[in-house]
Amino acid sequence: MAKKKRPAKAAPRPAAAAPSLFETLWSRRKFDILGKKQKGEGRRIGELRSRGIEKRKKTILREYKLRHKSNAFVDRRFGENDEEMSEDEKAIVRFQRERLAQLQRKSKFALPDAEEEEEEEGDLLTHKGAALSMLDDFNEDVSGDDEEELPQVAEAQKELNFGGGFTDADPARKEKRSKKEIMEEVIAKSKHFKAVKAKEKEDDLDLREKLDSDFKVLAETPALLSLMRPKKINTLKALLAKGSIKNDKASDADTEKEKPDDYDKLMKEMAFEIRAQASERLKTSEEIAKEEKERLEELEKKRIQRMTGAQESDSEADEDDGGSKRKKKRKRAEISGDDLGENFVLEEEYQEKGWVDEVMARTEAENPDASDTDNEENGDDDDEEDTDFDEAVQGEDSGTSGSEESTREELIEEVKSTLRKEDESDDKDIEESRELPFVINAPQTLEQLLGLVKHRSTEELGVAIQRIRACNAISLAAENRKKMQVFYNVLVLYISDLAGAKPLPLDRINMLTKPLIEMSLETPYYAAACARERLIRMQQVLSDKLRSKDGDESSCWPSVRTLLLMRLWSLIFPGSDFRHVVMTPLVLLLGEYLMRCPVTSGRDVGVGAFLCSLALSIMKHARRFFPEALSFLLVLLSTGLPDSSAARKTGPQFLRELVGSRPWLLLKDDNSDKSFCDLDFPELVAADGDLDIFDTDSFRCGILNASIQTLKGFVTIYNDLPSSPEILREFVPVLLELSSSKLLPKSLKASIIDTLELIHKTVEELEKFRQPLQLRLKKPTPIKQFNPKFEEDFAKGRDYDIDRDRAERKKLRRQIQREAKGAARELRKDNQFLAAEKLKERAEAEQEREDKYKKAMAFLEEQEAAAKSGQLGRKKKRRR
Amino acid sequence: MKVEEVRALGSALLVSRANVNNCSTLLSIVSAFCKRGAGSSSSVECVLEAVRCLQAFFLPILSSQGVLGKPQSDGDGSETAEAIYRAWLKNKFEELIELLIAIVVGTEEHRLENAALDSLMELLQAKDCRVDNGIYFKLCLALTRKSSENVFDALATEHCKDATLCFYTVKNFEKLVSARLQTSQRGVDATLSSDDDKSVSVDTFTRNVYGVISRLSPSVQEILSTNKKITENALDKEFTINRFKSKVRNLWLNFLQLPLPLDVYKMVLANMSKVVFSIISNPIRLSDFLTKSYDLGGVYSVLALDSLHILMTKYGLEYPEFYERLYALLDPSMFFTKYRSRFFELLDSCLRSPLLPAYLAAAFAKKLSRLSLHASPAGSLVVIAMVHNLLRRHPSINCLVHQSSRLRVASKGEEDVSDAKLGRDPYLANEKTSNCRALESSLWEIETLRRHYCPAVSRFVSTLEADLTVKRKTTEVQISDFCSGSYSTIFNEETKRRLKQVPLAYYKVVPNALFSNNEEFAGWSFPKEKKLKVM
Repeated sequence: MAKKKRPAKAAPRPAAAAPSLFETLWSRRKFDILGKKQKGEGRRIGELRSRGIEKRKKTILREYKLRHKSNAFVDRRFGENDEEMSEDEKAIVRFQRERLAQLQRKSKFALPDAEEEEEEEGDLLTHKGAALSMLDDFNEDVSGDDEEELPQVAEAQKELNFGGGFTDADPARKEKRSKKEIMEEVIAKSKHFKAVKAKEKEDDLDLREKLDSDFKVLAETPALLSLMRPKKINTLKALLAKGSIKNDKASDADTEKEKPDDYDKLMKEMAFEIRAQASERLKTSEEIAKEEKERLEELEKKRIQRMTGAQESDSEADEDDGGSKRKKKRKRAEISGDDLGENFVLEEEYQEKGWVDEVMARTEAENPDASDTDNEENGDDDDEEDTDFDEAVQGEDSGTSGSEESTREELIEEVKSTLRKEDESDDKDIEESRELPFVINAPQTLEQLLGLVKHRSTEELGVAIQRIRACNAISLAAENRKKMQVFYNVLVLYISDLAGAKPLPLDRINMLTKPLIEMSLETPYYAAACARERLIRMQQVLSDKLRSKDGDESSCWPSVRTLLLMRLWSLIFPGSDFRHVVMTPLVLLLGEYLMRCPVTSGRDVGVGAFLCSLALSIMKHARRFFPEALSFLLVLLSTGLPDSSAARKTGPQFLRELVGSRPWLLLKDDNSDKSFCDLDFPELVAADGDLDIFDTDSFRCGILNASIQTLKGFVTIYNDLPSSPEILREFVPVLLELSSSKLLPKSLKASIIDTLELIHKTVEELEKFRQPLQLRLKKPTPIKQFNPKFEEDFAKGRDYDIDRDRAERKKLRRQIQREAKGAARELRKDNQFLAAEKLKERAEAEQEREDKYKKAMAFLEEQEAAAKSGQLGRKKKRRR
Repeated sequence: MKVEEVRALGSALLVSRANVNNCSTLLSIVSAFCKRGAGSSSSVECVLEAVRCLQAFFLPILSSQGVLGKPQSDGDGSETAEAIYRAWLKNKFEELIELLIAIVVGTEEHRLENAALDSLMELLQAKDCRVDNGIYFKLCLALTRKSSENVFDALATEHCKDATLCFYTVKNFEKLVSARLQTSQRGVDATLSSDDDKSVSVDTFTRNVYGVISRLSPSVQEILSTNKKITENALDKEFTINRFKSKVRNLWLNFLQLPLPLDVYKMVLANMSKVVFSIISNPIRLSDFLTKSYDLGGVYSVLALDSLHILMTKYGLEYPEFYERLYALLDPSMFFTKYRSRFFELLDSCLRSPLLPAYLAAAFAKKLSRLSLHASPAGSLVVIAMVHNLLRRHPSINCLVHQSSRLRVASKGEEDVSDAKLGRDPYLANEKTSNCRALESSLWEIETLRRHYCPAVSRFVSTLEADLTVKRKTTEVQISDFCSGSYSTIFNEETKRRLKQVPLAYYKVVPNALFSNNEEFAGWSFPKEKKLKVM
């Protein structure tokens, strides 16, 4: 401590921040490393300490001294509280303040008072207000660089110097220049440099003029002309002509502003000319799609022209389109406005001039690229591939696009609203089929789509959808996204519409499948929202039906529409996801159908069996456990047995009541020699309630066969499920009894025995290798190791705790500790300081008292001595 | 007849005795209505007005003199005009009562029913605020024959708030029920020889009785809880609290002995713990009934379990085969019953005791998990939760989910060790708990659920992985959170999830048709359309 303190006392406190070596704290280093920083190296402890003491003197000491005082004296004089200022500085500051106050009071342009000037300038002689001697000196200073000084510069300088203040020549005065003078000097100098610059520019101009005239002479010589491209010669001439005019004007163009003249324009034109000839770059997917669209539009335009008879002569190209033009023409007039929406317009003249233009304006398409109509088929194929590719890309993009996410809620609303419409959709009578247009706007309602495709063949339907997708590709325009979403929904509506038709138009539905799968790629969120809303509705319908099942005769089992849509979604969305926004609810719904719907008719049996196969197709990939299907199959198969048999009682009781209420699959006649065919899905599912076909043995055989096949599938995918033996063993008595039945067709019997064998094999396999559970198996704890842990890019002082929260807390705790320590230290120091002050005070008081005492004693002693000696001592003393 | 005319008749009747014959006119209006039913000419308003007037006429007579009660008191043979008049009045009064009862029981008109019941009750209590039980008994008897919910409600909630009336209600019904019970016990011959009140079938009788007495219980409970004061204030000597208690008890016990129709039976069981336990002094006497219904199986067992559980926990009922029967109750159908939530809660609380033997706990755990193979996702969730709790309460059965050594030790009694395969499940589902060998088994079913298609189930299995033998680190699962689940709840939960990302199926070749792949949907054919229908 003492050592450290010493230098602090010894060194005088520097006024400036000059670091004193005596005041720095440094620790001795054993090895000096270059560039290494060490803690406390640069700190000047002594100074810090004395600063602290000073601070205390100002704060605590003052408080201490004023502790018994009720009033205080505040010194408001300028700089009075600033101890670092010398007396002179204080005076200057005061003076400055005074001047400032004056300046603020006066207007800016008021001339200074004569008195003041006199005060400042003292006894100098002046000419025009400037000191005579100074004028000369200034001229000497500046005019040295340039002989041809412009008169105005000189004048400006003179003006500037008016009023004087320049005291270059006078070294004594130099130091006393006022701020005003300094500023004036700066202004003068800047003006001077400006003048110099102007001069230089003038010189350049002269030189350029000279060069121009030289070039003109050169240009007129044939030597240069021969070197030039013929195109440029005119330009050159024009340039020359300009140049001459310019030359005339050049004399007075010094201060003129530069305007974009013809030369500049020409130059720019030339620049553009070159750029326009750059090589063609690769087209982006959008452009390709756009071109494709334009091509289709062009085709459409031509077709309309042909239809209206403008180009009757070249009929070769029309072969592909087929059909007689006359017929088409007649029908064209009959189309009603609401059939095809905005695409088709009645008025002939409007068609002629405006339609394509309108479309083009809408899509901002230009540059129609004519191509041969003969290529149509190939073109379509190409187009398909292209758009497929686009969609794949687009689909990925849209997965992250924010715009779609933001409108998701709207989507759902939209889907809901269209769902409501779904029920109201009614078929209108549409006219006869006609030529499919090339450019088709995406139909926004089911009616529009129906109007377009209802009376067309399945192939044409496919082509129409393809064209719609090509014309409204999302990559073409932003608003197409919305259009296509609506169109997507319309297609789904169309499927459910078709599902209601009898017989089931499976071909058409199949035709829609691929586009829907592909379009889902483009707008996955919309597709999911769409599917989910429908699923919710299906579930609601089911719950309602289950609740009111006593009164309601209609079957709880799903309709054809539901079945087809479920299958479609299981194609669009992956069934193997652990949790999927669409598939999980779908599978749950599937399970509910199987577990809770009472089987009341042959159709219900068929639908149930079909749902089991659907479940199998969904579960197959991830091999998930789906108990509902197995329970259902078990009970369903047991209905193939007579009521008397013991195996009829298998399966959960509630399911037996729901499903096995009647021996649905019990064969009536001997079918051992007959063969049976696979179940006809459309016929079976589209039929309602009890039909004759449900009461035939072939139907029963078909269901048995399908169930057995499905069961086989489940057995295969569950061959590693730990509980498979328990689940599958329940099937064994049922299957055994079924296979022993004499009425069964031989092939069916064989497949049952097959399945039985498969079950036996699976069960045996599993039971052989199944081990008791070890759920609590802990991971083997690794042996503790002592090799150090290394961090990449280790930085000292950083907390490498993985738990960031803990690290943060630790940091905060440390901070609190530090602060608390600091505060305690400060308080301690305050106390020490105060104690020292008190001690000092006491010492002073003591001293004073002692002095007084001594004085008194001395006096008394003197008195005593005087009394004793009879005034003798005093004299003696004085003398001494 | 119009309402005004009826009103005029009534006011005339009230004004002077001279018009006393209006009384019979009014009565005839009412009786005409009763006979012809609702379709009669006189409107409901007329009848209402007539009833009101008659009530107003008889009330003062009843309260002032008690005339109608004993007309014979004043006569020593000589029949004075007054006596004749009184006899006539009495006659008319009885007629009115009959009619009112007929209205209460017979009409469809709620307004009329209520009005008739109200005036009947007023007339009953007219004399010194005492209840004329003879008349009231008649009403009760009528009520058991044919009645509507509306009347029950009115009677129970409005009139029986009064302690005295409540007492009489209980008393009368007790009498009726016991009489009925006796006849039914006496056998067929008694029913055949029965007089006219046996004409009602037991079903209707019990249904109606239950309708009244189930609604009565809140007021009974109230009376019992504040019994002291009422006893002191009661004018009726008959009315003591002990008597009341015994009446209530007898009423219920007798009622429960009657052959109840199934719907009533279910209702009684379902409301037993709420309605009956609170008003019966010693509910342990219900145990016979409850054990009988517990043995019935199915829904009745589940319902009885609720009350039995209360009896066992609060009243110290001992039921020897309780757990065996509970075990037998476990069935896949449980996951679909209406009362499943209560059942699972009860099951959980029954299995709460840590004193249960390990074999029992293991049997329940194994049985439950076996059930999950046929259960809905919601059921599987309950099963996992139950198994979780069982494992936590009984550390000794944790061998079901974790066996440290993989080779199972063969039990002593097992002779066919040699040919038994290691992986065969030794659990016997149809045996009793003590013989089912659940402890030797392992919960493979739970492991199976890990591959359940429902993500919630699959996730929930992992809670069993934590070491549940350490009680400090684990908490019990609240069964009530799961037991009311169904397909709908899980479905809604799944559909409420935000559309965060939508993965799509990936195909090398996008399928061209819905059912293109022939390997799927084996056994089904999807023929092409024969021809294109429309062009």
